[in-house]
Amino acid sequence: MKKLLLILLFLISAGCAPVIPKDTFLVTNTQLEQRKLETRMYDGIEETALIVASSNILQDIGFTLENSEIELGVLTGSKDRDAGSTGEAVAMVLLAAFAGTTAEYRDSQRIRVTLVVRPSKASKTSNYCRVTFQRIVIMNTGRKYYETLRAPDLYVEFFAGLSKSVFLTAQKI
Amino acid sequence: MNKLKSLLLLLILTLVTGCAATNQRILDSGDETQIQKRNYQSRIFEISDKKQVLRTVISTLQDLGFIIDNADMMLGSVSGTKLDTHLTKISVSVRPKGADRMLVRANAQFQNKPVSNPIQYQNFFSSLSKSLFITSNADE
Repeated sequence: MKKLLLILLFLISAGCAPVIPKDTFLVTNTQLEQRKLETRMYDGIEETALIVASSNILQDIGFTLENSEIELGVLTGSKDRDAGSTGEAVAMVLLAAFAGTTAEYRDSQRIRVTLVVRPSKASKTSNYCRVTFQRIVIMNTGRKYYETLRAPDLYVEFFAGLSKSVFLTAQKI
Repeated sequence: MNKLKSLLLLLILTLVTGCAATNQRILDSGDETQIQKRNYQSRIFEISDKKQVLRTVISTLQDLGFIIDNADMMLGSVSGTKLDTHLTKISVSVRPKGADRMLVRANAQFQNKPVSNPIQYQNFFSSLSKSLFITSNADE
């Protein structure tokens, strides 16, 4: 009986603590694909002007700038938004009532962004811009989950906005 | 009365060990010495350009799925967070070592624990050295 309890305790403690994945600090092929999705090259604009255009687009889409280091081309921002919809909440409440459990649905989220501009060796006015979005979703129960956003259209739409911003910056608008 | 005394002793013992655990967690004072930690958390690179190393640290972290929380050219530090099912944080510093070398040091945490497996740091430095090689040889 004691042995069984010990095994049970061991299993519970082992199950509770997540283990760091082996490839956390190794670049995988999936991550290289992600790099392509997150990167665009901009020609005919100086590095500083591209950083200014980038900070403008981040403001356009509602991010608060948290940190910047112009010498290294880094901008970091975040914003808090609702995470779910009324429809989702109602559906989950109904489902939980039917199953006799507590309803859990997405409540709010903190979206984080990093944008890095780095010069290309091609020419003085060629620069790479790489953007990454991640979010922390908070459920109505207080539980949180973390996510890196990988939807290709998100990045396509963002870079379309940045291209406009680059144009507006160049026209000093 | 004896039972009460034992209970009190047990309570005091729990509080004392609780205090020790708090201090241990604040200072991360485990079995390893500072030198042991520095040893596996640091690597020297034969590059004299601090900015190039910092920029490569940033792009390596981005490749690994991190968001850059903070970067400081003067201090030579970069911190990042990875939000992907779990929470991973890393802080990297780049300092000149002599005239033509850079000492890169990294320390990471996974969820609410420090990363103390040297292999994870070896992996990080291996990813970084590959990127450094690529950036000094091609336009990537």
